[in-house]
Amino acid sequence: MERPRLKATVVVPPVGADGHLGLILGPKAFDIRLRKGDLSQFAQLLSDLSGAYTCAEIAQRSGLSAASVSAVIERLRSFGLTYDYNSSPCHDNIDRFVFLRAFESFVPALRFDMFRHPLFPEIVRNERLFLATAAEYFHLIRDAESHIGIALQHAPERLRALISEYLNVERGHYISLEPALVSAFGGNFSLERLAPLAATESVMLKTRELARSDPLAWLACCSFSEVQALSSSARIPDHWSSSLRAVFDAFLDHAREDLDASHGSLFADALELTQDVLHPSAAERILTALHEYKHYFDNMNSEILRVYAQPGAPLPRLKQRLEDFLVTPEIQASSVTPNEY
Amino acid sequence: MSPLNQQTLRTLNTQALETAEPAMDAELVIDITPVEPNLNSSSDVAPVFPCR
Repeated sequence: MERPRLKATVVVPPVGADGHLGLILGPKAFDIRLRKGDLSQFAQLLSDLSGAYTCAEIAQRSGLSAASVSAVIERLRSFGLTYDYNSSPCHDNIDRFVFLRAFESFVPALRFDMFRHPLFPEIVRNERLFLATAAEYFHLIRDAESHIGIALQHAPERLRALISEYLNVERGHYISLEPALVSAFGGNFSLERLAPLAATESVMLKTRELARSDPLAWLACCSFSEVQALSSSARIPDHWSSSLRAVFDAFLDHAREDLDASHGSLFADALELTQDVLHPSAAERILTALHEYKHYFDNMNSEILRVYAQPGAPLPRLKQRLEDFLVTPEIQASSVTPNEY
Repeated sequence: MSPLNQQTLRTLNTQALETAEPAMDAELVIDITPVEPNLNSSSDVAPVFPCR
């Protein structure tokens, strides 16, 4: 193998007691046990399995013997976990239902990894962080009409009815969340003045970009992020204020409605409407988009945790005004129009 | 970007930096065992949020 690359695995804790590390690739899971060497060396080796380096270069970078590197990579390859990044790309068209099975095998592992982000255990311990998280996700929900509308403009004819139906369900769906958020925040401001974090806005912009450039990849990402199942034990602490419980209940009701509408199967529904086979480059675009989209959510969740934990971080986070940047209070009345310089 | 989970890898890389020794030709031997994936989410609340 000229330049070995680890496939799109998720690193997880091992299932068995004697494992040191777990790897998940689509529907398959593996426990890794180190018989010789330590975890830091294995981590270094995994980092170097990017497709950039040869086995000799990996040995040099990691300090491992060439024989060890070759043997470990061969072991990973024998379980289908690595491939040669220099090998010829797949040129065969893929049957749409074979592809759907591949797509659906990756979604649970990616959602599992997304939901074990450190933000989520924290929001049921920290009322302020819970409200901040609700506000940031409110932006995504409010943006649904925008990206679905864009997809409708750019989608091929055969997908338009499906997307129109999605738009009809999501149009104004965010409105049911507003009273609970307004009550929980208190104060006196319009939710129109709420400003998303940059990382939240990047999810919104990425979603719109996919809607414009690749409606099928966009539908795959929407299916991924839509609710797939809800636990009956989902709840926030009983001693929290009634206004926060109302926010949680509003989000829960919203999720239940999406679950009833089967938005998690949007991609499967779309594939029913496409040609029998997918070109390999289309398949690559869709799975890459899915994988990256999950990382966009990771970034957003990390930023919620980082920003709102800072002392003095405003909540609610309202849009900036010119006055935020004026060092001196003097400002002259202007006769120019907003777009005139 | 590596396909690995960023946070786990960051932790492992930090460990690698902290414990890495300059010794060359170290040995590493691994066993790989296929297992049933355990994808039970640790958070019941999390799935409520990302949906549209």
